[in-house]
Amino acid sequence: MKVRYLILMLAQLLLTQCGSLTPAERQQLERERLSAEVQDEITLGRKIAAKLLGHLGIYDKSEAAQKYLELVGAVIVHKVGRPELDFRFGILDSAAVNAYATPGGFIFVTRGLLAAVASEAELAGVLGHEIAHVNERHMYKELRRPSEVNATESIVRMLSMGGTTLSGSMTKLVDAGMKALLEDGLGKEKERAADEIGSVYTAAAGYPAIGLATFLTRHQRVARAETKDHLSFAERAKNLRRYLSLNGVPPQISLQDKVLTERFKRSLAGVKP
Amino acid sequence: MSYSRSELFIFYSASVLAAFIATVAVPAEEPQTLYVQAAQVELKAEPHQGAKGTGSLKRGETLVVTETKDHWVKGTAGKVTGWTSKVFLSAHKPVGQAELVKEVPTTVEKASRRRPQSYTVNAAARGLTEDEAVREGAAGYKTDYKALKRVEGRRVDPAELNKFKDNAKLPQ
Repeated sequence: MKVRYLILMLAQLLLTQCGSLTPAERQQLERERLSAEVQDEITLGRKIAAKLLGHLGIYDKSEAAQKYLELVGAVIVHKVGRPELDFRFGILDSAAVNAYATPGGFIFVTRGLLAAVASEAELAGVLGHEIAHVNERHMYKELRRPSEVNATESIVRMLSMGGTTLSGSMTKLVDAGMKALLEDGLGKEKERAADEIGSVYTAAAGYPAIGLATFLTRHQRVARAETKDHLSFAERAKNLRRYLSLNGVPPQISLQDKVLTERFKRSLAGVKP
Repeated sequence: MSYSRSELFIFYSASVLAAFIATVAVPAEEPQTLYVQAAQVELKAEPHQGAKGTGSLKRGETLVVTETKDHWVKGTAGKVTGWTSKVFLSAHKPVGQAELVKEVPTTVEKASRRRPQSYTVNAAARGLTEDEAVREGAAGYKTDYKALKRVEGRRVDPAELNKFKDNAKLPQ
């Protein structure tokens, strides 16, 4: 019973104190909450990114391709990226056609993907999809689901006034992140949302919103088993075209602007699948 | 005067509940205000990408929501009214990395409750504060922090980015 009184008194004290905060102090508290979350995102995302690089290896044989990837990514991030994050772009040494995003803004494409995209707009479409995963915190939310927090952890974290917002051991969370990237995916709903949001992003950055859909259509023969999200490329392309049509994005947009085509070919010429 | 345990329990429960309601209760009819998170958004006359533009808002400006439809949000910002995609908006004010670590004057007592991470987020972003000795984990994937730091060490030159956009007539 005494413990219950103590908890109630502490809760009352906490609530009374909250009521006495000035607007500037409330904003400060909100910044601190955001700060803690952003730090956790970056910490977790870095560790998963380091594992991904360790698993597949970095591709560093083409400075032109690396720079081009960073510039196309930066065009989108500059318009719609979360301002509290530094987005990073890297190339993985794998012939598979794939792209990955880890929390905190770490985005990777394979050299196989760079060899497979047919235009700058298609590459922008793929990057828009991955940036949407980061902005929407898809993986971070999945890994820090409340169901994984037990009562003891919650109390310890509350009393510590400064512990991480993440639950469970970091090693397990990183393993879970790698499993999501390489095996399970983030689920149909999140993949679909990233397709749609990513296309809105690419349009905002000035690229044709249809880029991702055309890429998915051209590669729709990728077997269902090879797609990490359990939605075939054909299904994703169909869903995305429907979404773009419903939202007034014309389906027939040329992806082959002269300048875009020339720099696309020049930058990625050296990348072999 | 003395109280029984049950009376004390009821007293504290009631006062905690009252304090909670006074602190967090929000009138249901209060209009929602959302902040622009994107660098700039165009407001449209209709919830449609091809619709006529009615104005634009920059990052940090607010939109008072009056209507929603699918992923579209209609709102008012000053004298401008229009629709935009909700993916460009957020309930919290956009914060840059510098803003996240800014301090406001406060009492020593309140400062003592501050979370230490708020001052280390930039350092963490550079990888200076965390322990990188993560075990291999059950899956046994290797780590490559050397490669990660090479990726992290790269920067896009703003002038080069502007030129890259200009050359292809992409919006600044």
